[in-house]
Amino acid sequence: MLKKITIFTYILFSIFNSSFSQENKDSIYLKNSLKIDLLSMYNTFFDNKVQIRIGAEYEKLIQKNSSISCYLDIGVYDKYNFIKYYNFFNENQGMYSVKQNVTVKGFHLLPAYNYFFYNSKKNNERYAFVSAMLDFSCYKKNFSYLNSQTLETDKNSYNQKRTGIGLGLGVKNNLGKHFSIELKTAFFTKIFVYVSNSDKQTIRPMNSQWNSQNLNFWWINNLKIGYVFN
Amino acid sequence: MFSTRKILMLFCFIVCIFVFNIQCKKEDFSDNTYFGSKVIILGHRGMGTYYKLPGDTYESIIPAIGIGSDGCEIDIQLTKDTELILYHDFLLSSSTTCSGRVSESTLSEIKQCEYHSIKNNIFVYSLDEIFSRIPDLNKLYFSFDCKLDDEVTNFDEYQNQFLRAVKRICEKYNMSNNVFIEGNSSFLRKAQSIGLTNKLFLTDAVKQSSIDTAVFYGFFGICTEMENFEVESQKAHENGLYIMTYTPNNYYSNIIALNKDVDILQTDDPISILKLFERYNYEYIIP
Repeated sequence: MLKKITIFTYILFSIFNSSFSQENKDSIYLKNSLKIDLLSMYNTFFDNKVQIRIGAEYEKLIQKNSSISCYLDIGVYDKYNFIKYYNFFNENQGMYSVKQNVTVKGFHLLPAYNYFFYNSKKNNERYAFVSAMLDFSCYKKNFSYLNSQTLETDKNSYNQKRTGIGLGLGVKNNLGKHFSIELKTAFFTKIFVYVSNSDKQTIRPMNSQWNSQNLNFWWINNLKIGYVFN
Repeated sequence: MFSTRKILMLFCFIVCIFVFNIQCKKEDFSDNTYFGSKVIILGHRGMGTYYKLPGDTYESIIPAIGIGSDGCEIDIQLTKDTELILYHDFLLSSSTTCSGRVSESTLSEIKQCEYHSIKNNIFVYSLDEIFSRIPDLNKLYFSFDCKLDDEVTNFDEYQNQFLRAVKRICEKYNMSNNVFIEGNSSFLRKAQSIGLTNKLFLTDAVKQSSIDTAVFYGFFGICTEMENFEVESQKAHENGLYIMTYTPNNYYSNIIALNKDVDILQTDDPISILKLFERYNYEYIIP
């Protein structure tokens, strides 16, 4: 996976290198922008689970070619049932099920430092940038459990906090004077994770499009529409 | 610079995406069966033939169970020393580093055979090894696609040895009720004569003659390809026969198979069907 990400990053760099190498470097004139992430609103069609999320970012230009930004992703990351049936042929005590109802709520906060290594006033001002980022996340997981045979129930919840550090690569294109569209991809690694109930499974990074099986690495993509102002 | 019109068009496009997303409501499908139970969802060779790792291996079976499948369909074969292994083809060279036929090789020889795979160290497993490593084995179901090598010298005795090996392993793990055996009529009758108490599925199209055969010999059901329904499942159900089907490999073909009122579904895409019926374990991370 790491190899694929490296190749992808290299390709992205190569494209921008060839696209912008002949163009004049220029600064970014408008200093602030507010962005909304479209990918965070995406719900998978074939999942029977609920996701209600919103991702927004504030970015401020601090120098000619660098900016700081803070991205907030908040919402209900998961709300689903998991039903496991047993004894399908009604032998012995008959078929029964164990139903779990799971809800994961929380937020991600991603402060970042962005360095614009390419920019052009041609083609409606395009920028390419790299970012150094942190990913602070906090989740609360509620779950209930019902065994239809024994009528045993259980209701519980626990919290999880995780911090990760990562590197991102993005491209931004201004749409007119006050709007922008931005595509960003970032790769993170875990610094620490705290789970309030040590018996429970660690929750995967819910804002990620991919994570490693041991949850030490994850990959986040964003597609943002922004409003740029002074 | 982009004109206001273009920005407006972009905005409309985004709105359309979200409206489409909201409008894409899922249809109501049912996983209830004629016999008042639920459809048993089995992963074909584990996670299905499109999984990145080879099927009929521990590496493919464990994720299928982890995501919530009720069990797996597996291909089993008899070795020269009458042990059962999980392997699809008769020739070892088709998928592994070894050569020769399964029926002419011993278990110790076959266990050295490594699959050609994107991941190293995936070897051919014996059925005993697989069963011994699966947690809560008795809560799961397995369908044995018995691959009979008709090039052996004494095919009749070979089948008997095969079935005795199946009986031995089912009794060892108390899995006779949870293991289905697929085969033609003569093979299943041999299974009955040897005293196997497993659920026997006649491999044939769902048609009147196969229903009559299955009823006559007291088989448990019929196992067929999704396309091989000459009569409706209802006919078989009315005769007390279960229907097991295979070959669906995506969300839509899973739905087509379900619409044929099957009782057991062997699928190459267990993920979509489990998600549809809230039977998918989102907590399990597929390796």
